[in-house]
Amino acid sequence: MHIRAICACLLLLVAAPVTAALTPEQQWLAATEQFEQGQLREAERTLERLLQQEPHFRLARWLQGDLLAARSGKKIKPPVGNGVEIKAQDLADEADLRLRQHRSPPAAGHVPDLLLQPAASAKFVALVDLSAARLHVLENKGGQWQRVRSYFAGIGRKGFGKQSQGDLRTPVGIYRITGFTPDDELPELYGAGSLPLDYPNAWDRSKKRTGSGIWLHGVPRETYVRAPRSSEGCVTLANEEFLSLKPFLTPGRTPVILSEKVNWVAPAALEASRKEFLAQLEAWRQAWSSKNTARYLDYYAPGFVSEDGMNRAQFAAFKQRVNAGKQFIKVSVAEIEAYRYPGEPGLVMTSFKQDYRSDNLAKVSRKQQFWRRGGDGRWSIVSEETL
Amino acid sequence: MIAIYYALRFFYPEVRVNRIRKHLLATLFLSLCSPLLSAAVAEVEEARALLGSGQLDNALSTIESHLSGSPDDAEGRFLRGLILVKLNKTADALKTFAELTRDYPQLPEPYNNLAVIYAQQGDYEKARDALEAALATHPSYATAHENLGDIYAALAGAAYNRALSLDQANQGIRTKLNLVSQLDTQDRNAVPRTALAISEPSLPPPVAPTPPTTKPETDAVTSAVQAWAKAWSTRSLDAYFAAYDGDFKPENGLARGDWESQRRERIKKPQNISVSVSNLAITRVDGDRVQAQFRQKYTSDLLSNEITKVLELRNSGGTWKIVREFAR
Repeated sequence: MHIRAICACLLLLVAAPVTAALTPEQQWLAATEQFEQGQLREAERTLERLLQQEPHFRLARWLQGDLLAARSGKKIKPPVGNGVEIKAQDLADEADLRLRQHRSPPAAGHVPDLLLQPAASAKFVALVDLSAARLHVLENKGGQWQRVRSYFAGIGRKGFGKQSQGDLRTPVGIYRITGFTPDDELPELYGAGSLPLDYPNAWDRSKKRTGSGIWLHGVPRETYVRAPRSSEGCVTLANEEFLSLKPFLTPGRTPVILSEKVNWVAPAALEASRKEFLAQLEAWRQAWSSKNTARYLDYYAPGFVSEDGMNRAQFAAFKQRVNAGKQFIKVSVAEIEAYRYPGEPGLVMTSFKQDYRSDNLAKVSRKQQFWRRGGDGRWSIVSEETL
Repeated sequence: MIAIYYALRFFYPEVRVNRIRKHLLATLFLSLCSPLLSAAVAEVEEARALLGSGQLDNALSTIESHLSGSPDDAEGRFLRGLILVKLNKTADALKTFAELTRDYPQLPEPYNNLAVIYAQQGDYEKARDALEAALATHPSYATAHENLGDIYAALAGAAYNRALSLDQANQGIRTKLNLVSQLDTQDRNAVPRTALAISEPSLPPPVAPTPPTTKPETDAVTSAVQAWAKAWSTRSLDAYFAAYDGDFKPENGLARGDWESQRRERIKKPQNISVSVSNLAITRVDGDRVQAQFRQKYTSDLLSNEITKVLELRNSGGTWKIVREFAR
């Protein structure tokens, strides 16, 4: 351990300042580009430095193989047989994913369209683009969300869209971190530590999804990263990158969004969507506050089921009875959070502080709702609960 | 378990006839000048003969007796290294060649042989570095190129294995490379400042000066060289091989057929090749032979270098064909 630390320091001293600042991925990309441009010697040196730093970065080792094969002037075939092809395919996929991210990054200044209105208190959002095998950390800089980190991230062996326990898929949804488990309390498999997520959340439960133990975690020391699709549903990161996330991710607060893909849009487009949704929420609040029960109930979708199990008709009858007995109702909302919900077209997850006052009841609570925009452009509430 | 085997190649290049001739001439000349020196040279030759006939212990004691009198003789030290290799005294052989590279950094052969030993020990990185050192001073040194190709192939295999986290990353691959059996000191003026080397004295001057080349001859040779460079550049294998005489002997000891298939492979492998010839100078060797010396600039998508190339051409029935090719 000490020796490794000393070696790392020495390496930083000898390496040019420019290289010292490059991440392993950036160094791999540089070597790839040098190779493609026929700068074999330079590519070789870049890889040697990288592999000294990260000897278990298999993709870099593979590139070194390609490079040395080219330098040999002979036809060298990578080993085959005994399932080696699968490992080779994993590396090819990893290379493809990393290159694609590098060559077609999100447009500058664009933001994920999921972020309608994150909590004002949320300085950071973690967003996993599952099909791109990428974890982005976004930071709220003066009202604009900017990417401050972007890491290669492995997911479930069978991909994403978790439905049931043991399906080896990573969930799609919006989660919170429930804590941090350090390295020394975990088996080697999890590497530098783990950040467990609160899967299954309310939406998952409403869909009868099962399973548990979905974490963000590191990788065993014998490798730099795990293959793009190799976990039982967790999101895996290079140990160093995993540890670098800790300052950004606050348990219970920072949203961790797992999305099958991410649409990066111009901030103006996102602002328009945000306004459209907030206008609906406001109209619902006004209908309720003005005791216009018919209009208020119009916002509840036909398939709506209340928190305590009433169907749409039972819920309507209950609200009509309760509201009729009131002299006045005054509802105000604050601290609104809203996200497009990944994997569910037209669905928005929102939560807010609700201050309800009437002549015979006053209650402040935090409410979560799922809204859906229908094909006709009408918004309706599909579920709600008090948190 | 995956094991990778690569084509193994091991041979002692035939000691070239012209080299022996040169060597004997030098010996003869020296023996005329100094009986003491000639005795020393005779001892080296005896040790070489003993090595050739497999009497390794005798060869070693002979060369060591020689070196006790002339400890700085590069040729003798080199031969001692070869004998030690044959005796499987690897550590001593390694030390011998390593010391030669230190004392004669301009000689490529000791680097080459050092690389061969490193490779046999599985230390491909060191083998590669040694070969690159040999090529740094002699970019067209064919044996080093071939060996380096093998080293890179072995390193590539090991890298693939490590990438796939296969256990035998550095096992199962033991490339045997070409050990060079003779120092080519005559060609390379490899004379250490302190040591007396057999190649030091110049050869006796030719008895009768050869006639200078004529203008029509120079023109014909120039166009033959240009045609050769063009065939190479356009990767036209038939035209390329047609530039070589039936008596052409590859310098690196390869058989003609092996040389042809190697050339074929190397010319086909790159996507594009460009060979340019500049500073061409033509001198007569004898009645029907000339040497064309020029700067050869080779560029391909895989490799580029610039060297001084010598083509020896012979006039057979009005056309000039290449009989020798080497780098200077």
